[in-house]
Amino acid sequence: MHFKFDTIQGILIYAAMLSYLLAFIAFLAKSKKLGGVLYATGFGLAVAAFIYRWFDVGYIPLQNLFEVFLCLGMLIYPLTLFCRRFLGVSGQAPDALIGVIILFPAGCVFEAQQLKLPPPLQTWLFAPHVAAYMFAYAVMAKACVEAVKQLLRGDTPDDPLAKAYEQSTFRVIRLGFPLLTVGLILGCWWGKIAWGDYWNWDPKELWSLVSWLIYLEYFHFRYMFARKWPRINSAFAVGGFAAIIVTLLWVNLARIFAGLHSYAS
Amino acid sequence: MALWAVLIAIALLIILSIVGTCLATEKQSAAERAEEVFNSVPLVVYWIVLVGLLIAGFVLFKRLLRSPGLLAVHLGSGLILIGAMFGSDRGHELAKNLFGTKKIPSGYMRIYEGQTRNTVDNNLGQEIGTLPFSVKLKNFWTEYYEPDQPWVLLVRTLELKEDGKLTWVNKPIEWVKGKDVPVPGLDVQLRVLEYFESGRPTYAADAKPTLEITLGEGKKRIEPVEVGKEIVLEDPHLHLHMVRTFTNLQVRSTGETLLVVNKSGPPNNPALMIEMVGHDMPKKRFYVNENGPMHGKLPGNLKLSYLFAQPTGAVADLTSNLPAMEIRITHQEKSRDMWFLVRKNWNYTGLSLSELPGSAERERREDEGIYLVKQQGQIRDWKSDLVVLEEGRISEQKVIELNAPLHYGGYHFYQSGYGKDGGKQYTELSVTSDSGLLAVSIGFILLAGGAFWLFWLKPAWTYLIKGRDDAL
Repeated sequence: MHFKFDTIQGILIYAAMLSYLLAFIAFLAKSKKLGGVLYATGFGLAVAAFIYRWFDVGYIPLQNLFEVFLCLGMLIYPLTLFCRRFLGVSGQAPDALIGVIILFPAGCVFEAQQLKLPPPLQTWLFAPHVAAYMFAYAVMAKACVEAVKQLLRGDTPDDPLAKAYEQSTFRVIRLGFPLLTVGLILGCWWGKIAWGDYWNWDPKELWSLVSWLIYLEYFHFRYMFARKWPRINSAFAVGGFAAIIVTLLWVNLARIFAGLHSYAS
Repeated sequence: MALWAVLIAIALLIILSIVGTCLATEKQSAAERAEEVFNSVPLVVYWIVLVGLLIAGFVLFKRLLRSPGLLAVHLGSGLILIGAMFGSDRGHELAKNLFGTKKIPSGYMRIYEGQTRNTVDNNLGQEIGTLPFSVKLKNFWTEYYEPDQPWVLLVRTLELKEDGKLTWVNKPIEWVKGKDVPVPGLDVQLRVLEYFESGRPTYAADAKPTLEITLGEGKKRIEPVEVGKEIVLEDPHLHLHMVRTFTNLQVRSTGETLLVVNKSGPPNNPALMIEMVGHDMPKKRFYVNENGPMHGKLPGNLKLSYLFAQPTGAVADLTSNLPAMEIRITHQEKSRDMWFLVRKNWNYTGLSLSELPGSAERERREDEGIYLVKQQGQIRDWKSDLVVLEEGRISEQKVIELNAPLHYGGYHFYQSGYGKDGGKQYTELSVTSDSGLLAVSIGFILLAGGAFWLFWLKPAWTYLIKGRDDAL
């Protein structure tokens, strides 16, 4: 564990986490106004933490897991607003909790040690590739929450709430899938200009392909069986996010999956 | 039926990809094994079936042709697969058998500085083909970041390892100004009294210049400089005559001759003119500054250094990029203060164990001691200046680095690695054929564009025209 109580960076992250947590509690207690204020405050603190890091290191901070999770913690609030306004998908309480969970590794697990950019990361593709994936992961995390809500409703046929959750899951995955696609394509392109190959069969590449394929399978399955087996649709959404977790965390950290992407640890 | 086939095909690829991450063996990484598996005959059949399913989709599902987004994502996926198959090793073999093309799918080239090559090797260093042009490495260099801590204090000792061999070990000394800290591996305490990241030596008012003479086996002798003084050395047997001192030696060209003058102003290049004569050596003149003779070679292991004056301390000076550190070494009750002053072009300075308090009780080994050492920063980049030659003429020239390859003659040349062999620098290039590249690139654009059209732009357009409910 790497706590950061003695740094401004750390204090900003912990303040954001506390704000998100209090927002979650406020939402659970049906206090929407207070929850909304706390959630927005948490977002402001997360943005401050990200900008602080940016100025500190002198480049867009998306190089290592600490910076990636810091960015994710910042994106959850605008995602909540967008989904509520344009997709008709609510869920502020779980989103606030997602914010706490995402910021926890940044605040308490990963080292914030500044690293100079190694030669493979010195390209304009670095920021868009990682940013596309970060947006996508935040969106798919929300989709997973909606899918779990649908699964927890049980197997009652024609349950309007279950249908609503299934619809929400679809809308959010529809939002995130192009970002996942772009992240994958930019990664391939980067591999081509850096190492000469679009695809090196690296474990991280394969797991990111698995994530993308599970959502692809989701769309095809839903096209065929949307009304017949809605719970399987939701299972795909949960499975896709599980693959994202493996892509993001396990592959970077587990020695058994050593490959080209290991520098991100 | 066709849609079931698609579902099964995608599910199969998911399973194969997961399996592909776990194929590592003792001799091969997971990536290497996965590459072999996914390019094996059964998987080649699978890829062809996948492309066939995409083509069948266009025939069986008219909606794919009517919807721009669906058309783009499916067409894009197909182009990516076809382009990748064309660019693969098997694709190149097929092209060779069908069309007689002789392109090398991929390989490596190790080129030394100044060398020209047109052959490509595999990863075992075996030649696998010849390019229709040559590549020359004009120059190679690495670039470094400035280190966060340009200078570090460390102790260098010989340690007996488990294999019974004595090995040089450098251990950093974690110092805090004004605080006594133990020196790893030694029975002394060290305190940093003063440290300037940019410092300038100071001298006593009556400081006099000296000549530092280093003989064989590191023996040093310090002689006060006096014009006209003669010094006799035993080994090698030489007579040194101090002829003239300069505070700022400059060499001027007068057309046919070179003139050595003492320029007025600050002592930027203090030097001493010495005449040397030996038993087997005619009289020779040397101009010696703090770095040694400014031209020519001294006989044997002799080293000379003219020190304008012995510094007594240092002050901060932002115009200097050299550090200065005052330390106190304490052993039991005895202590010694000294300055570590770095001279121009030096990468380290320090003092040996034999000069430390309590050295009489310690076993002495040359070069063991406490040093202030210049750190090299992390590598920022490595670059190769390449020239492409066709029929003896330069066709292309480019400085390549990671993420910036050279594209020429149907091939890409990537900066893959570098090294030194027998003192000669070389670069390692990864060479890749560009077959299938166009199809894959178009496929990427169609797939990404189609996905955004289908899931973002079309719903956004519907939202604007008809409202949220219709868009959702």
